[in-house]
Amino acid sequence: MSKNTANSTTGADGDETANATPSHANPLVTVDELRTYYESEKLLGGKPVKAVDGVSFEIGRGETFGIVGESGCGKTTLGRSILRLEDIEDGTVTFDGTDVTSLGRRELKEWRRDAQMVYQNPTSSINDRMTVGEIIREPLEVHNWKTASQRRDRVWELLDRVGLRSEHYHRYPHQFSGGQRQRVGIARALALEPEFIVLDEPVSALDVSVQAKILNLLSELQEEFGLTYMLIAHDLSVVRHICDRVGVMYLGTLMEVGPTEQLFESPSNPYTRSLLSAIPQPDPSVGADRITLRGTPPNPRDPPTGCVFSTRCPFKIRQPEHEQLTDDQWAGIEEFRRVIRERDQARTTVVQRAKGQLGLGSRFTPIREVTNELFGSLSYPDAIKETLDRATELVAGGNVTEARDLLDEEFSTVCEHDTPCQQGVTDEQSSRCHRHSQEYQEPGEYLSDSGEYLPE
Amino acid sequence: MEYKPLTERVREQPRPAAVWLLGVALLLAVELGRITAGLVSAGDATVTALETGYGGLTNALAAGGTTGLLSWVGFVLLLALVGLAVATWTRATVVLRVTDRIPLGPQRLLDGLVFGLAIGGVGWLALRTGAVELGSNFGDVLRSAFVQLGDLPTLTARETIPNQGYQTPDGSWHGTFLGLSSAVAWAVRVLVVHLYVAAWLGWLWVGFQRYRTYYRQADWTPRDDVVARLRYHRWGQFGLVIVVLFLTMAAFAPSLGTTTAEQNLYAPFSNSITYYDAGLGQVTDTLVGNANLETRSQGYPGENVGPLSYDRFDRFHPFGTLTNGKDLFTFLVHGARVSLLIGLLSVAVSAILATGFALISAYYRGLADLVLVVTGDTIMGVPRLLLLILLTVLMADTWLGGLYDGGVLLALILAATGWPFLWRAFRGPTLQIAEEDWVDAARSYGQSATGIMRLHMLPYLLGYLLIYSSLVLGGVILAVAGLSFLGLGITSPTPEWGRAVDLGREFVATESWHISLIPGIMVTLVVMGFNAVGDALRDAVDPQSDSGVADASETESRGGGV
Repeated sequence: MSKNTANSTTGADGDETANATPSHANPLVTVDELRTYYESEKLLGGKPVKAVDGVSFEIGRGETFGIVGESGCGKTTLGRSILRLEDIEDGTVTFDGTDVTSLGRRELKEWRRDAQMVYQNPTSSINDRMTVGEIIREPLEVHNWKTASQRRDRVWELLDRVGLRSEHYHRYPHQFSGGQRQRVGIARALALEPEFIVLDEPVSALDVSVQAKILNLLSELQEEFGLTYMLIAHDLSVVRHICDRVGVMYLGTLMEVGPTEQLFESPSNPYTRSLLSAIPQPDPSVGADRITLRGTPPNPRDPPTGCVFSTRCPFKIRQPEHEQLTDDQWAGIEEFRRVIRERDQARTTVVQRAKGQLGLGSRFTPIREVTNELFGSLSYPDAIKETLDRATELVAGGNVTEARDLLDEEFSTVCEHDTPCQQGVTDEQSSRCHRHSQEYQEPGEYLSDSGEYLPE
Repeated sequence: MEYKPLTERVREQPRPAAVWLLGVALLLAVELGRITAGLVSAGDATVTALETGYGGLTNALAAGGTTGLLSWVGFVLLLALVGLAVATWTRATVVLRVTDRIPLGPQRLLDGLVFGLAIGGVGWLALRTGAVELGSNFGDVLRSAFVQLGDLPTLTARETIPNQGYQTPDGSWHGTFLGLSSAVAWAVRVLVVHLYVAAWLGWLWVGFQRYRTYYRQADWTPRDDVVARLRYHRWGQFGLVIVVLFLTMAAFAPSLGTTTAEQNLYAPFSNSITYYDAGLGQVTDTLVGNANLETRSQGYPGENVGPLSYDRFDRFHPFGTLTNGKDLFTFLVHGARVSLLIGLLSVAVSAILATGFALISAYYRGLADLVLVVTGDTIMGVPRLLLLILLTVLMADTWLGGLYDGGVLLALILAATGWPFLWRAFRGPTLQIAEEDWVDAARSYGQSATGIMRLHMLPYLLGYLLIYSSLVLGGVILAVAGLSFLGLGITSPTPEWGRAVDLGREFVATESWHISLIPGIMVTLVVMGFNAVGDALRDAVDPQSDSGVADASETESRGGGV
């Protein structure tokens, strides 16, 4: 369990490194500081997309570990990186004591027998030009598994096991429904008797009635063969239904890890809270107010400094003198900073620079219109008002970077300076947030204090 | 329902299959002589090639010094390559049984070497023990039996329905089929040939229907829809008719011609014909070459033999004669053979290159793709006609230029300059296929790169392969004709359509218009036919692609030609 010490590099609360996740005596999969970057525009000097940026967790034997998060947060890339289907940038994945990131080609092929994947889209995950029998048999053939007749028997057995009939052996996949095709995909993943299966949103492309059947099938199979699952999903109810532990991902980073019920009942990370509050309540008159997040997730090519969630976090730590601002006032400032940040970033792109050189007008609305719209109906204390006005002047004068620096100096806090480390909240739950440090209020306390939101 | 092998399914219900096979046997029987004769000549050619190869090999191996050493090294390398092919194909391995400490790459190569040496050893043993002698004796016996069979009369042969004869003043014909006139006898033979082809096509269709009704286990496969869509594609059917006529022309050229190519085109002064000479008042012989000199089409009424007419030697010319008095129809049917062989060879080579490169660029992407894009675009960037002329002239004197009167060279040059067009058309769809999850899944359970390309990507390319190949084939035929028209490519006397167009160029506006016009129309029709078939296949395989789409890659490869 070296991962917590490994990433306890933050200055503000380095002393707070607790033993975060539960220590499995002998975890099957250990992921340590895994990073996967896509460098599509390397030749043009572009920044890499940080799809997975320093993720650490463990999966115990026979456990179902869920990964949830918005689309585009890097869940699928994480799963594929663990299976070495992506080239990883840094970090290690240890499977049953072996470091799979350093395996050679042949060892990798051998290891692939133990770790398989079930794909999201049943129409594209199996080859339509092969019969169901050929599809399920292929992994066996690739690994020269026993004799031809034994392979066929094995396929029949698998078909029966996943709820298909042996007469389907010679059918083509297009004759099947989505649920049946997914069963074929599951049978193929099971063919080599793996220990570990990554389920990449296995039911999200299926009808609701079929979803339950497939989930039950997966549970039965897990019991029967002692499988370990990593379930990637965005459907929180599915995760709550079958996962033992859950990790919450945001922008390539694991924000919170903990046992499912504990995490759903008492989320500690602000992002988890916002995500859970997005679950629709059957009865609108009951339950908590929803925490609505502003804006969209930032571009993973250019993630925010400090905490990745800092640009949207409703629990963001403010400088003491700003604690008294109302949420509307604060939101206006945050929005203003976002606008200026975007402009500053856009100015550095090649196209914008070229446009500037050619004297072509920029695509931005004049800054005064923006400020009028943002702050028109709000009133601020004089000190803040003065800062905002100065920033507006600077932008109008073309000094966007200076304006950004000015606002950063005035409003930024630890959330934007330092990357929070993963800290234990309870024995089994760990979360990345500066509010877990002693000098700040916990997210839960902050909420009830401010009175604006009710905790779930 | 359990899977049963086809043989078992047939055994359970043998009647439809038996009837169909009986029909096939009947169709084969009427042409048995021709088929066995073809087999004998193919076998002879193989034996000669093997003997030459073996002789050269033993000489080279026996030679001392560097030559001998190099020959040995080359020989062992060749064996290893053959062994590697065997090892890859059968997935068998010896090395893995001995040790598993060798990485996959070297293990393959080592396996190849072991298999190659084993093959070499078996061959050597066969030589030493006299097994080869025994085999060769057995082969001789077999050959003589086949030669006997080859003498059997066949339905579509010239000898069965002869059309070359002469007419005496009383109006009766001698030497022709049933005493019919030469034109009618020829027409009967042409009809019989086409009926025979039609019978084959019909019977194959019946076979497919019977398979579908009685033996196929699946009630429905995607191919059924393809067939159903083709049944209502009139434009494609028109193309198919043209293509079938063209293929028949190429396949049955010796039977379709009014005279033989040997007699009329290649060696007219070594063959003679019999005719009734009105001046002498008796039946006499003359050399074909001399007769040709008097039947030339030179553009004025006194010296012209037009379509559907007899010349003064009672020879019937369905399409008239050429400027040198040779029969245009015979010239064209044999020219179809040349065009088709060049076209098929060239399209096959460029399709193989294009498919391989498309798979590589889609699977590996990155640098491999970039290199291929640059190479392909460079070749496409050079004006093709210029490149063709340049290469044809440059290579004409090499040994390659001598094969098949320059036909092989032309085919290879067309393939070398034409593959980027096909590859461009394949690259897009292949990139799309490489993105599919099943490719990723195959990687996740350890399928090899070649395995993924072969099992999970190639099957999806076959449709495109068929479509674009048929589109390009028309273009190649056009290109060959164009080059012959310019006096490049296929040399005289080998018949080539483009040369006929060239020969008749001066006479287009005269009595002898047929020399240029008929071959010109035929080239146009054939190219159109292949394009129509390609269109129809694409529409049938991929109904979403409308025939009117302005897809850049499609127009590129459709342009074909020069």
